[in-house]
Amino acid sequence: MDLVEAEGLAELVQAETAAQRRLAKYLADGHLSRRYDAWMKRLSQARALIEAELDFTDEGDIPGSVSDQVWQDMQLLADEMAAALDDHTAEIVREGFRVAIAGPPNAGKSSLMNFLAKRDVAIVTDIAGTTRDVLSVDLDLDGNRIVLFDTAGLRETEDPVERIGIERARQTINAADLVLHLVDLGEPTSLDLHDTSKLDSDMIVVRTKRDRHHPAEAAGGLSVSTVTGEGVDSLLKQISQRASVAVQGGQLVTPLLIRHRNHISAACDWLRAAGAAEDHALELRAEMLRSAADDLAHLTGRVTPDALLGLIFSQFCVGK
Amino acid sequence: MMTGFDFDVIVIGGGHAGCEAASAAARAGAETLLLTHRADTIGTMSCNPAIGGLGKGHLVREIDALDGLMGRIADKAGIQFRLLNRKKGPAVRGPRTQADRALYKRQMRMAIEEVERLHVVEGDAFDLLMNGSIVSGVETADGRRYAARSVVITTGTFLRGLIHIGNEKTPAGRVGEAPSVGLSERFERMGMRLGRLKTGTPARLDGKSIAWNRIGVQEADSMPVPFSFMTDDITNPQIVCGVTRTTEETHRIIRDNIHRSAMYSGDIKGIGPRYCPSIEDKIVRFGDRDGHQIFLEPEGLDDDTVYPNGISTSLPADIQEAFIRSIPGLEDVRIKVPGYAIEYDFVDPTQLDHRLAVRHVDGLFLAGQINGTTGYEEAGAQGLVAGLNAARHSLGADPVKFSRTDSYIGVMIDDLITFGVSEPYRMFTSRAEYRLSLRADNADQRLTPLAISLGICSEERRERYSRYESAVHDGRTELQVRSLTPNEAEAFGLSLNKDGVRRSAYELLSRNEFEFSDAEGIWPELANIDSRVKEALKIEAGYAVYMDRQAATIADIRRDEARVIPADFSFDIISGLSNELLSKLNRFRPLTIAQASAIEGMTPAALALILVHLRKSSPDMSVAKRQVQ
Ligand SMILES: Cc1cc2nc3c(=O)[nH]c(=O)nc-3n(C[C@H](O)[C@H](O)[C@H](O)COP(=O)(O)OP(=O)(O)OC[C@H]3O[C@@H](n4cnc5c(N)ncnc54)[C@H](O)[C@@H]3O)c2cc1C
Repeated sequence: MDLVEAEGLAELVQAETAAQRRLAKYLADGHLSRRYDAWMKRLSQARALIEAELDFTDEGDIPGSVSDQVWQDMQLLADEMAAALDDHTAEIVREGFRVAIAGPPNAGKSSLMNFLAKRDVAIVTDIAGTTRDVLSVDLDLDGNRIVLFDTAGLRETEDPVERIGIERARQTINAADLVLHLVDLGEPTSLDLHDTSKLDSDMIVVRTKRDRHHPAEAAGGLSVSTVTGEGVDSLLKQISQRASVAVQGGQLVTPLLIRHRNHISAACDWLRAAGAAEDHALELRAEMLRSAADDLAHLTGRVTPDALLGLIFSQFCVGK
Repeated sequence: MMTGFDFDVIVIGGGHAGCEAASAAARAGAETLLLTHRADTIGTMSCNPAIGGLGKGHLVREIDALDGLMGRIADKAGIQFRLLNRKKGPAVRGPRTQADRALYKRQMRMAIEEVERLHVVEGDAFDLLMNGSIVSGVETADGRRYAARSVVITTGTFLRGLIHIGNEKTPAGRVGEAPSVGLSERFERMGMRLGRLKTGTPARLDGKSIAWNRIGVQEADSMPVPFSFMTDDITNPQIVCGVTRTTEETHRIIRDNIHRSAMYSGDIKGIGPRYCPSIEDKIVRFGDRDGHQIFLEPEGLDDDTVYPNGISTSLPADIQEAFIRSIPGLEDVRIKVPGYAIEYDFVDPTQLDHRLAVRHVDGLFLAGQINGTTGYEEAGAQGLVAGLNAARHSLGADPVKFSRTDSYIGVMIDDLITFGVSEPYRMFTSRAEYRLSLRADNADQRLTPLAISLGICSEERRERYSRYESAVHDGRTELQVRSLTPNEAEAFGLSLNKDGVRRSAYELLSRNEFEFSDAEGIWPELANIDSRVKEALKIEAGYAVYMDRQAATIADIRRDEARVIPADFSFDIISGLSNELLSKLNRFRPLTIAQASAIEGMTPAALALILVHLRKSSPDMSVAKRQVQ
């Protein structure tokens, strides 16, 4: 078992939802290690070709310039790493699918939170003081972890304290994977969320306080009541569907842990730098590749200079 | 010193390792005996008549910076200087020269004779004199005994050497020289692990019978760059080499007769390298290709012998003649001496410490090909380290350790004693992790101060070096005090970011495209700076940013080098190490965390585990704490 697999095992022990267990098992089974190893292999091959150009120029049998091909492939490798970093599937599985509950004051945000917190899907039950409003709730919906965040009511205000709360609310909304936009059925003044980075597709409009209104008013669109519980199941179903899509979109091979992300991102930067350093001496570009390898080595283990030489000797006829 | 001893240090073998060892020991203040078969084979180049090259050139520069012999002798004997990799960056530039074989040997012998406290005696060292596990001297085959506190063995390919030409086998250390057998037996009795390696050399050709006009040529550099800091000019005339290639016919002849090659008939048990030194290897492993390149290198200015670099072989003599004559330009060539392969004993170098001393024998040092390396430069560099430390051992001074972070010498020794060898070990620049810092051009700055502080540096070099150092310092100041604005720069045709910031000449030099001559165009007085200093400053300015980055890693490694793993430390008790790493740790038995971190597949997490356990198992917590911090 290598380090990455061991990390997978540790994850497995802590897994709470089915998706987390799948992901941890994926790690523990070595899938991620294999991907990292494949990256390292490609990088080592590139380094071997460059090192051969540096160490065996006095031998006629090293092809003059294999460089172009190397630099192209290293940019492709950097692209792959960047794509892996952009794919947040694992983070969603692990940290939860983040749902922000937003809306104007008194739209029923806290009621919805408190209602959900008491249902059997809530993972976190130790709500600090039931008298206080819940700030976030973890749910397990069909094996996916969902984290609901309450936010301060959004409105124009001069009050500096309230403004801080609203600023924080916008941050939460920006960081969310999905926004529930709560609107009181009785006061359909919609608020403008367009100054956040959210797209309409990241949002579900939820009309609240359905019990206080005539059923006909609630027709069309989603409406809920936290008094009768009406509409809540259908809301949860929609959230669950969105979460499943978000998780299945990825290939479940994305770098899971922060540690992995940091090293991959550094390696990726080095590869880009090496690619861009066309006017630099070859030894400097070689050094950048070495730095990339040093970073990846945190995930795969070290590739020694001797192993690189082995790669060179197996491909080129050198030695006098 | 020397109470009750004939000498402080005895060096056995007058090859490249032996000469540097003897000279370094004597310079370090030890009364030194160089005991070798024949005084007239001192400094013999057994194989190719060339010094330096990629990686190897670095070693020569380092030997020179420590006031060793090889660089100076190569400058005196060099007949085709070339600086390799000129365009690929200063850190991978490799100085190389072909050498006049006779001249090299003569100059080396003269240099050895000039060394104070160094005595040369002919003889075959047959056995070591021992006092328990402490060395006390050497006994020759004819019964002479010399007592000394330290002995350095540098017997090259001579230990149970066996020469193969086709299926003919001759016990020999080199062609025409008897092997050395007694010492191998002594090693075995001492329980040391020996192994067997092989190497080969090509036939020597008669230059008068080569059709030079039908082959390509390779010229020397027009401005030869000497190896030694002490050399001002190369005075030897420079020659050209011929370049030709093998043909399909060559390949056919070799393939048809491959079973008659000692290397492929199963006669040779020793391990050859993964690279392809012999033409048989090239054909077997890389098929026909479009031919393999051969350099025809004249062995001397007044010598008709030509060394065909690239076709080392152990085929029978008649086949050698046939395949060589199928090569363009060599159709009518006369062979002076056939090529051959040689098998020899080497000592597994993991039994040595950083001084190149045998770990469990007091006063015994090994250097050169006996440690599984190949090449004059590798041998010479080890000789210097072993000789220096042998002297210090005899004189009661602290050992001198070279590190991967300060020199190629350190890289080589660390590789050898950590991993041992599975093939003849040869230096390459890719072995040096801190390559950008360990350049041929800064070898003097890296190592001469050490040589001065150890007292192994001549007065002449010390003075020259301190003049150079202050010239570099002054030059740097000159560059730093001169500056201009982007607008002023424009007047000189230099386009800079229009940010109004003044840039110093030193900062400008850090740019790729800005050469020293450009600086002189702006500030003509800078032309007065010495050309060697200019070059050093240009490289220094350009690499400063990379040096800073490496400095941090280097500091980490130095700290790891100081974190000692006790010899009796058990890796098995560490849970969480993969089986693969565990078995490697048990095989290599690293002595420091730095050595452990160099193991293939090693991860920082595994190192952290080892560190934690080191701390736990250390009886003295304060020591451990110091190690882990
Ligand atoms: C056939 C052959 C092919 C080679 N091919 C290559 C090559 O392709 N590339 C390359 O880089 N290098 C090659 N070399 C290696 C290079 O020549 C050696 O690595 C280098 O010379 C080793 O130096 P050394 O000082 O260790 O030993 P040597 O140069 O071999 O010197 C050993 C010295 O010790 C003396 N000696 C030995 N035993 C005793 C004793 N018992 N008592 C007293 N004196 C003793 C010998 O007389 C000799 O003077 C080759 C060597 C040989 C022989």
